[in-house]
Amino acid sequence: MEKMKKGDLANFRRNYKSAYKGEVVISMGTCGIAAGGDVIYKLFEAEMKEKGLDNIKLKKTGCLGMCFCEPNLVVKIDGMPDILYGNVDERTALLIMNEHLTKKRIVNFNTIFMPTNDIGKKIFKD
Amino acid sequence: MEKQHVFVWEPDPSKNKAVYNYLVKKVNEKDLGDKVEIYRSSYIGLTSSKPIIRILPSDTIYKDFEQEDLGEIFEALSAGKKVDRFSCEYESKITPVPERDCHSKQFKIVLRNVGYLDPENIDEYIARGGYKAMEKAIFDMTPDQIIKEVKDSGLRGRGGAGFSTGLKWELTRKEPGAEKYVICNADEGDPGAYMDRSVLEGDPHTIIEGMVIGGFAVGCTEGFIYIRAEYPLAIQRLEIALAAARKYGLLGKNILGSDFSFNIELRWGAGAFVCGEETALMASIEGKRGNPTPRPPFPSQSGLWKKPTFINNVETWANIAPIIEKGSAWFSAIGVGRSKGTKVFAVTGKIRNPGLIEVPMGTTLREIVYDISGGVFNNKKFKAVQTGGPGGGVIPEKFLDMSVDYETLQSIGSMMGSGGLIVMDEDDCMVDVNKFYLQFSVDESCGKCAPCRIGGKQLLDIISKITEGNGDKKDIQKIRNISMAMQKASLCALGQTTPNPVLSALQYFESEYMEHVTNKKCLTGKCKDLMHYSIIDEKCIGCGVCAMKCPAKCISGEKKKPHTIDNSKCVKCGECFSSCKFSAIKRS
Repeated sequence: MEKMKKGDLANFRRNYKSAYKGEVVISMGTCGIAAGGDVIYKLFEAEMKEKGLDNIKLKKTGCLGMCFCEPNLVVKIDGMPDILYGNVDERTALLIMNEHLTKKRIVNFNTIFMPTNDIGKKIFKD
Repeated sequence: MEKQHVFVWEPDPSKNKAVYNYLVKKVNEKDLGDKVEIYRSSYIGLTSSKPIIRILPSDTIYKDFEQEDLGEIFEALSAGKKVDRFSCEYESKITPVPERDCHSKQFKIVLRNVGYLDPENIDEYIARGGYKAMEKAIFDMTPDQIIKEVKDSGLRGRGGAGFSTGLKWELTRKEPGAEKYVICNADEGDPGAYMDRSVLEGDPHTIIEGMVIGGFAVGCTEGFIYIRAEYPLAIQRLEIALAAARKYGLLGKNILGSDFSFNIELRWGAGAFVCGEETALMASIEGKRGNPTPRPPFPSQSGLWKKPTFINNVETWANIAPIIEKGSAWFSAIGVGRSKGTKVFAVTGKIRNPGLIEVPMGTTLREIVYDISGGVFNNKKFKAVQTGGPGGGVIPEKFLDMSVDYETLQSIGSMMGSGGLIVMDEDDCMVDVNKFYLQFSVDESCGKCAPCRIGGKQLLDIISKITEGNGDKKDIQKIRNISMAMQKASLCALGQTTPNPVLSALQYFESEYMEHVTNKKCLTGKCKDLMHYSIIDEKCIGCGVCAMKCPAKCISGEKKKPHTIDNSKCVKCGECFSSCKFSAIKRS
């Protein structure tokens, strides 16, 4: 792409839209990977493809700071509250896909809360 | 009414699920299944000795209610109302800004993006307001304005020493000469600390943005990130981020079409702790052996390749973009006294919820240990925390309500350090902990100056002697003398701070030291040479569990008859002591 000039960043932000109806965000810092985050990531990648969940984006992120419940992931689906699941093993991962992603039902265990709200968004809002 | 999601957290879910069961029963009774749904949550963002309820999407938190109040809470819930008297909202004097989160004692400025965005995707960073501060700095501000803004914000170096960042920038800017350098110190080596790694892995662009702003303000065109080779993922993500920023024209020649050019290169450190010290770090970047050199001249006068240089820690750089975006007044409103903004801590050790937290300066240790991190693991008794890594000190229980900021920590013999916070419980022996840190400092001493090279080794020998039961009262005085010499005469901060953990332990836990020295006893059982295990004949039923567990096979005896321990073979691992169900093993 062409190099950005003054003002291009603001335009970029205005036009930036996600094409997806939801996100699964897996914590994958060194700590998350060591706890098995990459295994869960691969499982999601394969299973979501198989289940045809292609309107949900799978992404990795850094360490949320919640080392006591790694591997953890956040599920954000339009119209539902964001839910963080901790200590996600393969069984929980499959449940999350079958229940939360497919039927929009929150899985009734391993739910965790983020210790803080997302203030980064508030600091840099236009 | 929108569907209400109710999350219930109970302190000990294995025993009692009274709140969850009650609410589920009520929902079923009233047939509200499609309006209200109850979930069990294993962590709710805060901890307490009583159950907590969190309701989404309104994000209401109820705390400190009793079982009989649940009826009222449920009524309000089904009517879509709120019960104000249980609703939890923290008052906070140390974060008087609109962005503050009244449900949490944390405040994330440095970690604002970590865990939210994909670090390998620059688009997400830009969409969240990334590089906005850089654009503002380059086009709408003069270098002097930027430096004034950083100086007024009260930001101080987060690497440990706490020197004013703005002042450092100003001093470097004032130096004559066109060639100047910017360095980001990402050589994080304290045991148990991983704040910088998390920032680099989770939000590499914020460091790049901060460094470009710094480079523009001071007037230099080249920057280095000195990072440990032990952080391969951080290096990989930084390289991806640097390449993406170059491609977008946010780094390199003529940034955003302006006439300012700035480039950043990575330099790998080979893992020497002393290379986190700024003069040693610069020597290492130049390709020399990583030895510190005396200051002055300070790096701002003569640094990398004898040119004016300014070095800031990863966490300091991550603060720059928010300061430029929100202004110095916003930033300096957060915190207490001369300590402004927030501090990231890696809370580890004997703690229930270990992890990475960010709190405004002035938060108390009790809030960090109990409210945020859930208290001591397994409900043991709190003993102390070690802050500042191997150069910091221990903080005993009586200072739990003390505010965490540069001045207060220094006044009690510890230091802010880079942010490792290790919690110790009643099972930890201070002398043993001191021995661990000393061993670390001795291994990492570069050996250039005698006080650090010889003093550290001598201290370690004396402490080892004490843990082996050969201590003498005179040794305590010797420790103090050597420590003073090291503090006064060492070349760099590594040697000057090596005695700190021992000195603070002697100050607050002198009786424990004396127990080792005079009675040759270690009450916690950590100093193995002072331990002696024996079997109490009257209590032993001869089940043989200890004999089975013993790795040295030194426990013997007939079945159903008292066993004996052969102390000449015993390795003092304590397996028998912890496996005996009849308390028949005596530890003395």
